[in-house]
Amino acid sequence: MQSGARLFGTLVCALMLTACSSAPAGAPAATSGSATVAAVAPTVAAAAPTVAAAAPTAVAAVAPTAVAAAAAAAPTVAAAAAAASGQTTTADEQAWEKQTYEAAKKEGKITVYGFWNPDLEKATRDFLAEHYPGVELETLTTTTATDKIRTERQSGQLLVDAYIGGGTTVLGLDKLGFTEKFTPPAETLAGSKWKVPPSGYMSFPSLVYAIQGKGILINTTLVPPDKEPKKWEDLLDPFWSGRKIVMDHPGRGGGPGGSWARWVYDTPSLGRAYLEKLKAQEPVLDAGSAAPDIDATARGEYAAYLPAYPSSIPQVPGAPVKFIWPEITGGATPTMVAMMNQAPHPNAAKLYLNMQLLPEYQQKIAQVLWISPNLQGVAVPDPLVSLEGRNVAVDTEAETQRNNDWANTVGKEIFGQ
Amino acid sequence: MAVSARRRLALAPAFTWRGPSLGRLTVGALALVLAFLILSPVLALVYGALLNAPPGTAGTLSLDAFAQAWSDKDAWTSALTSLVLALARMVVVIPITLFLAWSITRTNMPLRRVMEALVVCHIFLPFLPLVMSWAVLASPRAGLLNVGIRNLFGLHQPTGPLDVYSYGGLIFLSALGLPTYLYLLVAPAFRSVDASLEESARMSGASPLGTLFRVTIPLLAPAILGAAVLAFVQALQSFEPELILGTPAGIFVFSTQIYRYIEGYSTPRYGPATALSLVFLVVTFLLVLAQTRMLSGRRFTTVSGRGFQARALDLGRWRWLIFGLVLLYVTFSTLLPLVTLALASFMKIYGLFSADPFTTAQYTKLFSNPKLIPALRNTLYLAAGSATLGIVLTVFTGYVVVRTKIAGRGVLDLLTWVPVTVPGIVLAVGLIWAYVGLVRLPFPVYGTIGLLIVAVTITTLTTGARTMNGTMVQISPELEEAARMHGASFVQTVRRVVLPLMTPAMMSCWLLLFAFAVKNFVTVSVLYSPQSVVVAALQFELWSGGQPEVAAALGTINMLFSIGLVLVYSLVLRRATAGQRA
Repeated sequence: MQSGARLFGTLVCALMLTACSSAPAGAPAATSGSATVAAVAPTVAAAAPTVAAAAPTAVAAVAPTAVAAAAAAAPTVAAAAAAASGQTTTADEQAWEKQTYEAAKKEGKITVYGFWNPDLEKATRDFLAEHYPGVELETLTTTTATDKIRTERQSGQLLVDAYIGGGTTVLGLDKLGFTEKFTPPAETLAGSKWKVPPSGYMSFPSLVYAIQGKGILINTTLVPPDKEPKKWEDLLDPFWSGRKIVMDHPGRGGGPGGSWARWVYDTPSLGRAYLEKLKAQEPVLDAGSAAPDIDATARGEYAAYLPAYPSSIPQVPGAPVKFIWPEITGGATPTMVAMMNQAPHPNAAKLYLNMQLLPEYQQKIAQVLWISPNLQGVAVPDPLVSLEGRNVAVDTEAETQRNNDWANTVGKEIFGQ
Repeated sequence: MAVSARRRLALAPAFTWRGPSLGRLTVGALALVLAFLILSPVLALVYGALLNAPPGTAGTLSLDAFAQAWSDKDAWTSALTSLVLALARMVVVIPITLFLAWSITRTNMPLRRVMEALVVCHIFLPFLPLVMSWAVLASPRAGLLNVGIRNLFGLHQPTGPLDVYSYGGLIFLSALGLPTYLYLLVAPAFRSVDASLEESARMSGASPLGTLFRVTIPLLAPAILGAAVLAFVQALQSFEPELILGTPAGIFVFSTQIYRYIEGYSTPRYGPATALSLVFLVVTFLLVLAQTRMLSGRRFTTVSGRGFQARALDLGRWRWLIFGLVLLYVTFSTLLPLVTLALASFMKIYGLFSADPFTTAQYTKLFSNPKLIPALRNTLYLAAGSATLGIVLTVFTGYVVVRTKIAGRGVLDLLTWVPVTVPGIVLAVGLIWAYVGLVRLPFPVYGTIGLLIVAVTITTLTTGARTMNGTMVQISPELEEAARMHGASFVQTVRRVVLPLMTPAMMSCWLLLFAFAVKNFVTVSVLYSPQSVVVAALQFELWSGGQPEVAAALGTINMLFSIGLVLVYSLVLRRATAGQRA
């Protein structure tokens, strides 16, 4: 206890000393018009690189304790396992942004591989055009980013700056030594509170920008009100048998079906027995992308799709669909970005990662995509999007690491090929 | 006395090769280029199957990959499913192909040229939206055709009667698609048959169908058998329908099993993937050998130094029945999915007829997509580049194989069969092994449009070679002999006799290769980068990203462009046929 307090005190002093050191290059007078979080910590000007260097230390020192405790207690949004806040002032962040933006403009673009949604891509392009004109977005939608990036590097090509998607692939990239830890100033903006520490939630380099809880999407023309599922067990009703449910294949590694089914397997009230009974309902198992299955559910081919996110709704505007949060929310996936080492456009990459955590961008993606942003206090377009009060259990690092192997063994055993 | 095909190749061909030594060097260089292009990914695949590490990384040689692949019972199941499905497809596809080719090229069926254009049009249709169209039309619960049939006949069942997510659905799609592709391979040969042979049969009392089965088809055995082998191999390798429609139905074949090894694990399992693909190679080589033996002992020349006639066979009042059958086929293979796709591009939600279902917003989204122009440009480069390279290689190869007695030309012919033995995705993996793992060039290769051109050229090489070889076989050496006897050099003979006769086939083949390049996704999916995105990849990104309507809009534009190509093709063919009659 005493040694822990001494360590904490030492770190705070180190932080104060660096904050009190030389003035930043390029006066931080200009504003970017982005973050407007009220400063709580002392507003002492500091060199941006120093702040950025100090912040990870502070976050790294504090976050593991918080994360470990949260992991032990199955972290929930309600528990609000927030990273250290109030370490960066708005002025500091804007100064860093300005400096980095000037360098990124010279680079000209940011290249990001991953699970791109056209609406997300448009929202990102629009934001870049508005706030960082001259920095273009280049994307590649791929489900094999790890292998693609590895192959590029083997052939001597460094093409990608960042990856966007789920933890399994980010972990895979880290194991190959392709990623680089970066804690953007926006993470430690004074007053910012996060549902999970963006750069500290996982021990491998990653930045959690959103959290997506899993539920059920139904077609209301095929499902009478009395058959609408209120809990997962309701899907075992005979009404749902015979190819009425379409699922992301739980036996496929890297997909939401696998992580959801693993969560079910681990949930004492559901477990393996539930999965086997669900399989007996003859659901259609699709190992491809979720979007076509959501479309098929919208036009009435299937009565339900799972595991679904609230972000399914804006994909099919005007369709007779409804998103349902079951009584026990089906786990939540942290959605993240990761920065590549040896990135061809390193400043653009840092700017992009920082952008992910800006309140304005968090607000934009919540509105456009109906995903739950990691930043607390962001207004959501519909109460469905909010995770507040839903007792959502966010996948921990250990669970993220386990998802793929579980899917390829137990998942495949129960649900077949 | 009948002369076997093999003996004819072994005998003096049209002329003894007396070309300049530069010609020999050119042929030698061609063989080297072809061998390098085709064999480097194949040999790299063999290396990769024996290495227990990903491409470009250190590893040790072992047979673990083969053991993993063959101890996986799913691999055996998928192999058996592939075989059964391919055979079932052959039973359906070959008769349809022969019927189409015969009725359009050999009879007086009404509106032949229009029907031909519609048949050929199908080849140019982008594949992904086509499958999507049939998912909307024939999905068991909400499919438009199913809803219509249930309402029309008062059927009180929640699903069916059609189900595209089934073995029957996969065979049905093949029946709509493969014959159009095979038609282009056999139609030139059908056109070249001397009508006097058929007329002689009719005058002897044979019916039109009897003439078809006892005169026309036997004469066209080389083209038909070559097409049949290709059909079987294509059916064996079929990928996109199985991936999109078969997977939800739990139907897995060889190609999707290989795809699963690469895509279905966090770290691709290249070893088992390449081990399985090597099995494909062996099976297909056996097929090729069988084909060669089947063709021995037959004489097939029908385009000779004598004048030949291509008059249409008069079907009498039967011509309207024949027309009706062809129209029915064209409706299901081309018109219905075309209309569905165009309709979907104007819908708010693909396939959902709500109170206010239509919009033009999908086209607005498409035209504002920053990837559209680069994709169109890259696709043009890819298609034109691969088609041109493919024609050059296959014309030269075909001439060497059919017209010369250069040692090793049989091996050259076999080489042109190799690409079709390797599934597109595995060929792409092989190219990665070759140019990332083994061959290091001083300039970037992976992810460039140049590599895509090479990859797609290889995938379409067999099609081009069969077309060129088939046409070359039909042209008698007498024409070249006559030219040589009049003092023409080798170059003059090729330029003024061979190439003009080959031109229609070359042009139609170029268009075919162009269309295949535009459609190709499975090969480019592994090889493209943001700098080399093409239309097929963009369509997939839109579809898998939740914008199938925008993908349909892109597919509609793609099809309209393709229809333009078809019109050009028809014009070319008409002029060529008129020239032959003159």
